[in-house]
Amino acid sequence: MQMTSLSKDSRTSAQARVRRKNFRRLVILVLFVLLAIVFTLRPPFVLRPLKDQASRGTGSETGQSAASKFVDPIWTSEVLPTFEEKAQDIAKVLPEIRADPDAAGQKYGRREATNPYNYMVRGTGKVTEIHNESRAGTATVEIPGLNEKVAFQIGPVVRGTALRDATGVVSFNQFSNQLDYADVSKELNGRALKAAFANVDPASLAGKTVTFFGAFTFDPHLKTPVLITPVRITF
Amino acid sequence: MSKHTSITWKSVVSCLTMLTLLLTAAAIVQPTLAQEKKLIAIIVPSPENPFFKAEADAAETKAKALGYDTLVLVHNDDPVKQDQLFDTAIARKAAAIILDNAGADATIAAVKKAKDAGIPSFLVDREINATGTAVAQLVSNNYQGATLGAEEFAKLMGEEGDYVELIGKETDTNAGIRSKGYNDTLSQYPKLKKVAAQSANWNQAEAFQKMQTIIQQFPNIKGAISGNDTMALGAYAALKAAGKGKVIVVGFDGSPDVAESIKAGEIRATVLQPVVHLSELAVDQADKYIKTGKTGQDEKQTIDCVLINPDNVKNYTSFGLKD
Repeated sequence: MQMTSLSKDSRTSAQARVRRKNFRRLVILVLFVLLAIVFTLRPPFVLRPLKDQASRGTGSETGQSAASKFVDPIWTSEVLPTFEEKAQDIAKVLPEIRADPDAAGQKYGRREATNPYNYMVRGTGKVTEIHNESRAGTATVEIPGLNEKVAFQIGPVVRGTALRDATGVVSFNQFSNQLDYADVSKELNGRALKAAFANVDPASLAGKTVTFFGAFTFDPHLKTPVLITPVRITF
Repeated sequence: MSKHTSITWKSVVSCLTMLTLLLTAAAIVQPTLAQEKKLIAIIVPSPENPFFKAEADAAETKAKALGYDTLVLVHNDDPVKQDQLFDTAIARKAAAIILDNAGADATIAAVKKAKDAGIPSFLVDREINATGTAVAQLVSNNYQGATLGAEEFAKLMGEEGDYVELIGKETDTNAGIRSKGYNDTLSQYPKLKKVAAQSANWNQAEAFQKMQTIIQQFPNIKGAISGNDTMALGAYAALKAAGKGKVIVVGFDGSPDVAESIKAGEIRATVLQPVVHLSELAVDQADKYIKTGKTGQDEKQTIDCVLINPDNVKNYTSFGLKD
């Protein structure tokens, strides 16, 4: 009896030991699995390709050249011809836009989602003021038949994304992120100003009658004149 | 030994199975109780931040107005948690998911899982690094917003003088995008000189301390441009306490506190991320998709940010702007 119970006891305690051991192993295994899951889902480090690092490091240069590569094939073959073809007479459309921004927007403009509408326009008028006290310089133009003045950008700082957003040639869906998309806008703005003022110093335009092609974004809340990014100016 | 192991394993497995069955049963019972209305699940980072609260509230209100039941879930920027919330949305047979996600890469799998279960996802605020998985990605254009803020800042500065930049949490994509937008714009003004740039991790108290130190080092700074509104508030408080309440401070987000500050003539401007509008738009597109199978829009859509300054602050509503 005693023998049996002893051996039974020792057997049970041996069993218990094994069970404890197994349990410990199981706990460790579960911990490992959990750790593996956590690390997979939230890695404590991030792998980034070197190329990415490099482009971040050198900043706009690499971005600019990528944007430049994007714009090169479309600038003369698509962007400029689109203006020639589709730009509206500003003296005709601006009053319509003021009267009913949504209706005019759908008719003449282009926009992404619910952003303000962008327009491609052309017009002829007299340059009455040159503002170059700011780096974001502008020229004010009076257009016959239009009861408000408009302005076009003369640089060197060019604002906005009207040019990129007005033609329909470029859309956000073509880019992996908003930085690349923004770089293309800067590239387009730079080329536009360069083309518009290739043969003339903007400051010398005061008093002259000019014909322009350009794009603007219409913000009904702004009290300042409509601001056009010119792609071509002749006089 | 192998016998014992298998017993232990068996008990663990059966426990897990029971648990899963229970959870599934619970999940199945709930929707059958209220089956008349379709459900839109709204998954957001954290309601403690007023920005995300406004975002969730707007989506919920819009969805209810369109006749949906809503389920608002919070992932606290934890992708694991987010994944579980997607399981919940799938189990509840949501008709659509509105999501402000917990990571551009980590979220792709969850959105795909929902897609495979026949549930379309509509992303707001933050984008993911994949296309063709979500039905829509409505992103507020942080870069465009930063350029707006920087242009206003340059104007207020008279295009010259010393200024400092407060940067957000450096691991956050938006901190980098906003900072790049600021610097791309401000570097075009040669008379504007950035004397210091520091991260205050989106945090008000940290911005207060950093600004105190900056003031001692550069007592003549004329302006401070900040990656978000909470840091702008901290920075302005430090400036005001040092008797420099006239220093030009510009923020980013369009928070109610900064709108009040602008009304009081303290902080000069901020950039509104129209999150209420984003949320409503996402629900609208979800509704259209549920009814017609398409949204009629591109997947990736950027929504422009709007400058808030003394001219239009009277039209400000919590993270939105009245016409």
